[in-house]
Amino acid sequence: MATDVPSALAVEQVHGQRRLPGEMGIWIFVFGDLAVFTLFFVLVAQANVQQNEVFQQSRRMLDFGHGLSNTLLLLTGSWLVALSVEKLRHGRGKQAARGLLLAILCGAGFVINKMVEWSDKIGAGITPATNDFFMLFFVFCAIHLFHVVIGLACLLIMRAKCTRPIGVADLRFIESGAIFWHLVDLLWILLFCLFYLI
Amino acid sequence: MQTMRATIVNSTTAMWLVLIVATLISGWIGEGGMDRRASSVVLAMAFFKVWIVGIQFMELRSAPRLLCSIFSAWAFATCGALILILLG
Amino acid sequence: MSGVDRDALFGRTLRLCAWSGIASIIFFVIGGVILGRMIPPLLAPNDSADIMVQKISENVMSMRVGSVFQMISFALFAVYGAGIAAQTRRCERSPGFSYIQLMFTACGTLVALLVAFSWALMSFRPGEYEPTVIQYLADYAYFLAVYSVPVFGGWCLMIALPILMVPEAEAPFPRWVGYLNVWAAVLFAPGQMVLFFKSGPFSWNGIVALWLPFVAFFLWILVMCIMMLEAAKRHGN
Repeated sequence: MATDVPSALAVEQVHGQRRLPGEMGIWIFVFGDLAVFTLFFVLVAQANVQQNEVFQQSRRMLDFGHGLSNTLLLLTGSWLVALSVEKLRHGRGKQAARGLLLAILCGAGFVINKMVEWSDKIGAGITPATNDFFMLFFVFCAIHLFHVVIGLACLLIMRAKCTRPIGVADLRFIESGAIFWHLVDLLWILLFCLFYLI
Repeated sequence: MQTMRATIVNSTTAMWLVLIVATLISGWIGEGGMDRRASSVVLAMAFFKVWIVGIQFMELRSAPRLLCSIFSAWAFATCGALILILLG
Repeated sequence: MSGVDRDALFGRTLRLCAWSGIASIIFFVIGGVILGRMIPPLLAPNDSADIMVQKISENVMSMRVGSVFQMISFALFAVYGAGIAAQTRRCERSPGFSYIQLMFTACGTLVALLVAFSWALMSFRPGEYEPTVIQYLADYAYFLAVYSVPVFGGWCLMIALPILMVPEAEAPFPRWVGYLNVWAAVLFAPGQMVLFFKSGPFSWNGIVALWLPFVAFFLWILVMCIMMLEAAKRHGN
């Protein structure tokens, strides 16, 4: 019946204290990116309303399976990253590294999935120039994909740090990287909704 | 008796399951064509998922209240704005 | 921030650089926004050349005066950028990132100056050139402004790296400034798309490819100027 002694680096929920996860700087980045993507979402919603026929018809040309599997991949990746950070706070570096590796595989899966989906579309003659739906679809998903790739690089760095003894500054950096990865997941949830579902 | 660690792991995992289920449900609703009202429901579900990602995964739940409030306010306002655009 | 030693001259220099940046914003608002009609854009990429000539001819005097103000604004960039590099230099033992930043400052200043030149040439004798030459000058000006993502985005990254790579106490600026610069670079990035679209949000008068980078750019300058003034305070009056 061992009670786990929270390490000094663990979340102080048990003491009711509030603590900033990661660094302040990453939150500036997160909210900044959210602001920009909010603009993107508004543009998609407006175009949807103004050109509803085009949107409905184009949406049906998207492969739902790709979109859904991508969403599940990123959600799972986020879950793994969140677990890994927790493990790390309790000194379990190796387990954290393993979790991060699985998350990296999820992210890589997303990228490959996306490449397959896009090459299918382009092979079928559907490009950003086809209509406004596909213009927004390709450009905004490309910007998101760029975030995914950066996120993967962050995960790799985080994983490398996990395998060595880490200090408080390192842990804050890793938390910041995790927060960025969750942002990538969050943005995709909305892109999936706006392009594949609505 | 659950250790604190197990509790944290479990709430993260529980939220992940909620997200997966919500994704599958909204996918099932959304796959066919949808009218504007169903679209709004699906959009709201998406923002609910987004809020969970922020609160649970990004740990805003235990972050300084101002940060958490700004995030929740953003989610609510953006969801509302998009629904207004879609319905308007 | 290393160097507890106060250097009054450095403090004054840094203040000069900060105020140059602020002045460059003001001059651009006069020369690019109010007079020059660069943003909000008077012209559009899918305007025909003749329409562009007509629009310019109707506003030729304000565009000319505007381009003079733009010229002053962009020349002040050089001072602004050098200030950031100088502050970065204080936190290095040997020059590294400060030199890199100076290179990017020089490139960015040149790119910006060419914008002012194009604007001037476009309003010099719009009726006498072939209309497509005028159209080319308009494209040229906007491409210089937003297509130069690797220059301005790269500049921001070269400011961010020396901040994020060292502990906060040894960094030239607070850590959040590093993150802000990374975000600024991300916001400049959509400008690269203007090559592929002649209308819509991703063209050179579009909300994503023009407005986003422009607004981000001037907010970035403002924030960096404020941070330079903060840094200058440490050296006293």
